[in-house]
Amino acid sequence: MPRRVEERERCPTGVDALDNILYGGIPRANTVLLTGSCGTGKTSLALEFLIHGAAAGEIGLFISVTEASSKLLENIIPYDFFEDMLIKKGRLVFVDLPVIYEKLGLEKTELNPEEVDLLVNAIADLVRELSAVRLVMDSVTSVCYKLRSEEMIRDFILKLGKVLSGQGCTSILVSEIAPGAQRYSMYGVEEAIADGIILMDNLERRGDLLRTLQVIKMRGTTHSRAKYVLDLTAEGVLLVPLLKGGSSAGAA
Amino acid sequence: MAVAERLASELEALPPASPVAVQMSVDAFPEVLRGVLELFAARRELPVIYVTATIPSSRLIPVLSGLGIDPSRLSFVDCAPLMMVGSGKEGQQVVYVESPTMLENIMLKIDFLLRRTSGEGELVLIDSINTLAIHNSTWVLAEFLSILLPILEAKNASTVILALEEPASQELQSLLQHFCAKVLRAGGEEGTA
Repeated sequence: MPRRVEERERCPTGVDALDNILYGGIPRANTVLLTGSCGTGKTSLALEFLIHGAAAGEIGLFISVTEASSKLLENIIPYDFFEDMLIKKGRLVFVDLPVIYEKLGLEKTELNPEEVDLLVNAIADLVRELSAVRLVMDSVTSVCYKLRSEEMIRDFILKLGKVLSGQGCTSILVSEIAPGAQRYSMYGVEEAIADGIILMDNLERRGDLLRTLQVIKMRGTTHSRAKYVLDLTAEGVLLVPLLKGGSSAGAA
Repeated sequence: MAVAERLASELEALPPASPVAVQMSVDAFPEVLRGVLELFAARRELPVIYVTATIPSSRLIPVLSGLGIDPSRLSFVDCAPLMMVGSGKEGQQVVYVESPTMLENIMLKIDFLLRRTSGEGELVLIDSINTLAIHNSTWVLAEFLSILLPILEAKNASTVILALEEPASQELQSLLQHFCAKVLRAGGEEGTA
């Protein structure tokens, strides 16, 4: 008799259309690469994932790698559903990775394997202390700049994914790629290891620039692989299917 | 019966959330607006999302006021080519789409405004299918309507699509008949899809 596969518990992103695309949300404890070039809405989507979670009582941790989180919060879209209380109550926590680097004595341009372990353990400890069940690292690419080889990048993401998953934490690792890149991550390694890949892109069509989103892979669930057009609004990320006639009519 | 009154009573007779096309001559445009916005929507206290592709909202709002229609009850998705008339200031009442070719963004802005209001029972007025057809192929418009109209129906929102009779191609008329529950003719004979 065939074994019945149990449905994985979902972590709803709170973005209605994305949760529909994923048949309910990201499978809990997955590590997802949210990838795209600049200006495609990655940080906004990742933040919304944490805000909706926090509003539902799930503690979220945002690790800001390049930009100070204070500056990030100044430029946040004035979401109708965002309340400062989420931060004050500790349900939404922002940490700047340079502060962690400083505490660990890792303020240098390159990290060795032992230091990578230190960093992964520090993040895992933080997640445990906060009881965080959602995490965003923006961006993982900036951490990878400090790693000398593809092996180290693979090792870092594997270990990070494992400790986060082990704690039941659903994670979004924001990844930056160059516009028009033919792969989903800067080093080509991150994409192979992540449980899921959500690609955000700019599509030029007859002189119009559209923001798009496409779920490339997501372990633990069936999902749509179609391309959607998105808008970043005060109501959050909104999505509609890309018109196919439109894309074939003159896509760049 | 005057055009506006007749149109309003025809719209009232339709089941809620039915997508409807109104074919009209250019001369009937003010009466159609009065019939749809004032006599139909205002009487039922329906919030209105007005998608304008032809006349920029900054020019349309005074026109509506002149017709005795209270524009404060209306939200606008303004996709009249923006750079040609000077950019307007986006606010609670007006959201802009850069070009009528960005049909997906028109849908997204309608969705946004639906979420901003009650999200149910609104009237979405598309003005007009002819202007959208200047910027988009009939095939793309068909795809647009095939996605938009079921979404609006699911949200219990009524849709009225304005269509000018004179320059309308057979293709466009077939499109309206295919997607709309009814094609009304303002002041003239009416047809049923």
